[in-house]
Amino acid sequence: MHCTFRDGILLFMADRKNFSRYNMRCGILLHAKKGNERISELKLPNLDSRYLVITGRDLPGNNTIQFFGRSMPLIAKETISFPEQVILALFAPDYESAELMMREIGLTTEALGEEAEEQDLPDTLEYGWGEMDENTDGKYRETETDFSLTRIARRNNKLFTVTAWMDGANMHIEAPTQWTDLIRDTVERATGYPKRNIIVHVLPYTSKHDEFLIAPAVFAAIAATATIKTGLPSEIRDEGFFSRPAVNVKRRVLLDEDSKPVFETAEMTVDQGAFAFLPEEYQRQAMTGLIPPYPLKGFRGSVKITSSPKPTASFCGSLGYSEALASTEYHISRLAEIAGTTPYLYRMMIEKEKRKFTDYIPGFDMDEQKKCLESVVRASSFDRKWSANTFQKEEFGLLGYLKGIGIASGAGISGFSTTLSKETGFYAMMTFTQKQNITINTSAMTHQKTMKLWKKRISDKIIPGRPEGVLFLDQGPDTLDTGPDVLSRLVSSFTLQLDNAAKRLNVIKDTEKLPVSLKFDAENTYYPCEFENSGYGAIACEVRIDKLSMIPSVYNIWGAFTFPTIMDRSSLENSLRRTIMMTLRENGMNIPLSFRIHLDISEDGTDDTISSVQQLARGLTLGALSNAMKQAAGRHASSLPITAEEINQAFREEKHED
Amino acid sequence: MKIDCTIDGKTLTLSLNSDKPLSLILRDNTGDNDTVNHCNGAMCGLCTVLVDGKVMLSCMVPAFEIRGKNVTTFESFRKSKNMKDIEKAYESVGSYPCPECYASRSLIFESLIDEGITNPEEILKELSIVKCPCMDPEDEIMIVRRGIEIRRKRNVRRSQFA
Repeated sequence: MHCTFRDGILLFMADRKNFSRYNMRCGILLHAKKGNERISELKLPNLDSRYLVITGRDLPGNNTIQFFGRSMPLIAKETISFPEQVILALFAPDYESAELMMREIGLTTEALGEEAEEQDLPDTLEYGWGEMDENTDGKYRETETDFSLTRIARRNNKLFTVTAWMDGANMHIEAPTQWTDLIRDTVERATGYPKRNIIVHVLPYTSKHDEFLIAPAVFAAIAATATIKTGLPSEIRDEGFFSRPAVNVKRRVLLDEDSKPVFETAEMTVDQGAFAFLPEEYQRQAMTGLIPPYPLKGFRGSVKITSSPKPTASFCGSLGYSEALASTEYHISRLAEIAGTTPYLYRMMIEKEKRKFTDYIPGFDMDEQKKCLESVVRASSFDRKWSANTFQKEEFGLLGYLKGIGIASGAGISGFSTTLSKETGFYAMMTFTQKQNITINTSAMTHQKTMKLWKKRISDKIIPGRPEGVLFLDQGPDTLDTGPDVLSRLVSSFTLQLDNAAKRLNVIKDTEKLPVSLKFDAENTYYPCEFENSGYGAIACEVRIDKLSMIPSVYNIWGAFTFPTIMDRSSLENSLRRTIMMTLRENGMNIPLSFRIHLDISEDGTDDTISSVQQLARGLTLGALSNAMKQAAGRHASSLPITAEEINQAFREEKHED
Repeated sequence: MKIDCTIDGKTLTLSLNSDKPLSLILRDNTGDNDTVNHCNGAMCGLCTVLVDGKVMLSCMVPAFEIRGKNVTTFESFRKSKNMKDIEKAYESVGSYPCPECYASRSLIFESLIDEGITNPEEILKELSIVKCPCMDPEDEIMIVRRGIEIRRKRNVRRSQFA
């Protein structure tokens, strides 16, 4: 490792790997096929010194990965909790030999039945306001809606490698990761190697979900153990995996004579799989999406987390806000159906100019959100298409019209909740040096393009026209932990923290002796509510189901978004497109060649927090898609993802019931 | 088996299994982990390479198929003048692929520009092997057409100087 002094600051420039692959051990993993099982026998072949097997018992330290106070085993020891859990790692001189040898390993398991491990889950989160009316006198019209998302758990076909090697007293890890400190922490716990001597080199990556958060840390701990045991560099190669939790939202609403909602209860149940990571934060995010944007005399919301022997749910760039927002949008469209009007007109009727202030989201003006909605409605001819589809559906009684259009609108939220920010205390440090340069000590090293934009924003505030004078320190033992790069946190709330720190540093640099440093953390973004709203959007989605194959296809998406500040328009547009497409594909939609996304993005010029683009776009796409599918496929197709077979079944049931 | 081939301008003699996919050869033997994915034939479209100038999904190409052939990955293609033409076309249209599919899409654009294909259907069909949705089909067609123009102008300029 090189250590250099620049402007009186020690910079650690860790060497990247520079060794022959012939002196390396290549590792592959054996994953479980089913969850809730016991390993009854693990038969290993006779292995010579070129091979190494690592099971849960071979780790010198703790066999756990800890994440915000909750833990999960790195390798299954006796019981297999969920499918895809790592059972063992096999290292060989090359991958072909490892794969051939893996075939010789015999694994016998037996079902655990009902004796599944008890998970430590948080209590149901409840929130509400007003006195609820039980409608005993039949004054109100009562209706119920049900929104469901089925679990998605699959590999993402993206191969990635994690390499570990030793260089003197240091353990180097090279991996694509969304949180370098989690890797250092996990490797320290698993191997006993001091954290200070663990250096992480971040490989470039693009993650659609949060697949580079937990898996790289698990693989790094295993690879580091292999390196310690063999004395040789070790590499693990595996595919990324993601899992979306199963979600169900039941709402009961009392409507007055104008079909306006007066009292409402919303119960959300989330199955987070075998282990729950950040369940309390999930509850807070989900509750924020669950609170309806229209005024109510009384509201009761609850979010319950459950567990099952299924793969642990990744955040999927949302942590529940998107799913809850989609459920609210789905619910509004169902109420519009009851009222006999289009969802757009119904929204305009029930939504006021200002949203109610709650503990989770402040009472903001609905003006910008309504503008986005209007823009989308105009561009897509929403009202006309919605009405035509509804009338035609009645005409085509037997098979249905098989066309649907759906709409959703909402506000974005940024990063983590205030409660979590207070608990965690991630921070970074900005220094103004004697040579009039700015150095930033942070573990948040994202993509080059983002860092270039950050450099420009910071230099504009302190050293105008000299972005090259802003330096992000390389990762080393003294790197400060700025937290994980999930929920677009680093491009949303962290950008605001950098901005605020730059402003403060610009003032104190003239009053104090140089070099002058400033520590900044999430405290700068504490709000009276759990989340601050920022950015608004609306999406309309047009779906058609093929009459012969029953395959649902999305033909058009219209989107309108308003953000406070747009740092890079084309990146933002790309990010929105990617999120929309990813959500559509994830939910079983076919994308024909003629598919188009029509986006209208504007900037409102305010200096507000920048919201997570993914969370908002994902929630709105999911909401609009559910509404469109509901119109196209009828009342039984309320769960996503949906397949052609399920649509067929839904029609058969509908016919049978009629 | 031993296979002689040229990868990114380097003539190599590789000793490997005859059915090893090209994507894994590139990852294991040339260390190209960043620009070549291996989805095991799941058609992710993120493992494209140029084999004798033609776009191919490297996870579908077995080792014996590259014997005596010239393989170009994005790692070396990014430094070429042809890539500059594509970058100019991106800039001129105002749209570019996301970091995930940048390498694959650029190589497909190169093959389309090289063959001078302007038919929208053919362009979209060829580009449909990349499943990433970050670009508008209209923009993709424009990029190919603009790329052909830029390439033609460069070739004319070169022949004039010659």
